[in-house]
Amino acid sequence: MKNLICAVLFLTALTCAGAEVPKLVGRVNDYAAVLTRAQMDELENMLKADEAATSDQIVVLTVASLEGEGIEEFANKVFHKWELGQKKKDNGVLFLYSRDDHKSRIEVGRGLEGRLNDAKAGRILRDTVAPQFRKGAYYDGIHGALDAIMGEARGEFEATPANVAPSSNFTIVALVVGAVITLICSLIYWLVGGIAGAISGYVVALLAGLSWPMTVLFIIVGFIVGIAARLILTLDGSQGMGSLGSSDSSWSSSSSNDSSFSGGGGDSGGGGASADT
Amino acid sequence: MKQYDGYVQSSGRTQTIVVTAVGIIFCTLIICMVYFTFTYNALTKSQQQVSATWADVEINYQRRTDLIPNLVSTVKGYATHEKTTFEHIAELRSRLSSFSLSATNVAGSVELQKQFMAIQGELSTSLTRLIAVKESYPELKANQNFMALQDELAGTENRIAVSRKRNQDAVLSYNSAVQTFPRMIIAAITGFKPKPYFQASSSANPEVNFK
Repeated sequence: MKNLICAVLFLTALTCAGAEVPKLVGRVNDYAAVLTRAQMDELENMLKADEAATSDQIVVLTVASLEGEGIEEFANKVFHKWELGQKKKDNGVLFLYSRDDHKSRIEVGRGLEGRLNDAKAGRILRDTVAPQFRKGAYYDGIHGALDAIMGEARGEFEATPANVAPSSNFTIVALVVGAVITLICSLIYWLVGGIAGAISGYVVALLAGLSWPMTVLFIIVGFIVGIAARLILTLDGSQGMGSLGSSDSSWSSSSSNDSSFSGGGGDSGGGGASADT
Repeated sequence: MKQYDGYVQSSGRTQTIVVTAVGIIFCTLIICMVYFTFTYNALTKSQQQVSATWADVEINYQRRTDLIPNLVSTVKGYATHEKTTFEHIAELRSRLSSFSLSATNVAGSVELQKQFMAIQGELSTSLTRLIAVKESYPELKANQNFMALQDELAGTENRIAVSRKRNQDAVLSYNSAVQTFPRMIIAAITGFKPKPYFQASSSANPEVNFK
């Protein structure tokens, strides 16, 4: 048994090759400690202003080592996990530098591939980043690269206010309509009210996109409420609409507020360029 | 119902049992119906994800094929003696064009997919050889146009790799849904079958997997 546990742990360790995706702490993630605090703030402000103007999400990540993983693979992994760029636009860019591997990569989101194509990304790395990094001028290199990236990407997208998920309105409407129908049906016969409640519960859950156990719960609750409505109505006819359980639902919408930066739900298809720097 | 006192009493109990049984059957039916709906929808979505990710793979392979003329002509400008490599690439390109000319859906046939992936694997090898030519021709290596094309090719190869991985993940997720209990029952009823995927290997003989 002990041998089995050891074997499992060993195999797990083997499959976990490569660096973990570091935590997204802001637009500048300097895990390799090549920038000073002031330099990081400067870059952060620059990128924040650009996002406000264009909604593009350009992010810097420096790591000490790739731990055996390919830079393309790692960059894509990070980009995917951090969800850089807005969801429908995919306008994210990741500048990645690995100190011990002496490699950099610019990973470009699908939406920006037209303007910031692979050739341009490669040229930025070779002409701007590599010469500066060779001298140890990391801030100059990154700043120059970001300037070039922003220059290429500018004009493709405009910042728009975040949209609320439209399906939330449908669900509320369905809830109200379902409640009214249930009450009317319950006047006819208690079982009819129950069935109407069950169907309303099903429809509401479907519109809300709930998982199937939750849907079953909604159906059962609807059924019970439908039967209960009859009782409520017979007890006091002038009570009007009984109180139906409030469906508390939170619609996930990506928000980028000033106090914390988070990805907008975008993705990259693997475009961009790498170079030795 | 005075003279039927005993009958009324027992019929009251019977009525409760009947109502309870109906209620239980009703609830069970509802649960089964809901589960069926959700599983069917989930399987459909999973299948669509497989098709969508495979479409991305084909798009990216096409992107690579489109890069070839430019790449070959740039290299030809400097390296005139690499005839075999040029000819091999041209031959592979023409074999690939027959895939797009025929209206058959590559994704629909395992055999076609295998052939397609085999040709793409050979093309990968030839293109690597073509790029490696630069080592013998320093002027080619320093040429800006060639460097840009190299970046484009590397980016495209990366896109191919990323999209192949995503397709593979989609197929694995779909296969696991179709082959595990209890979803496999619904899959069998509604006709969802496991799909093959290709091990990401650069050899000309792609291994086909169904698990």
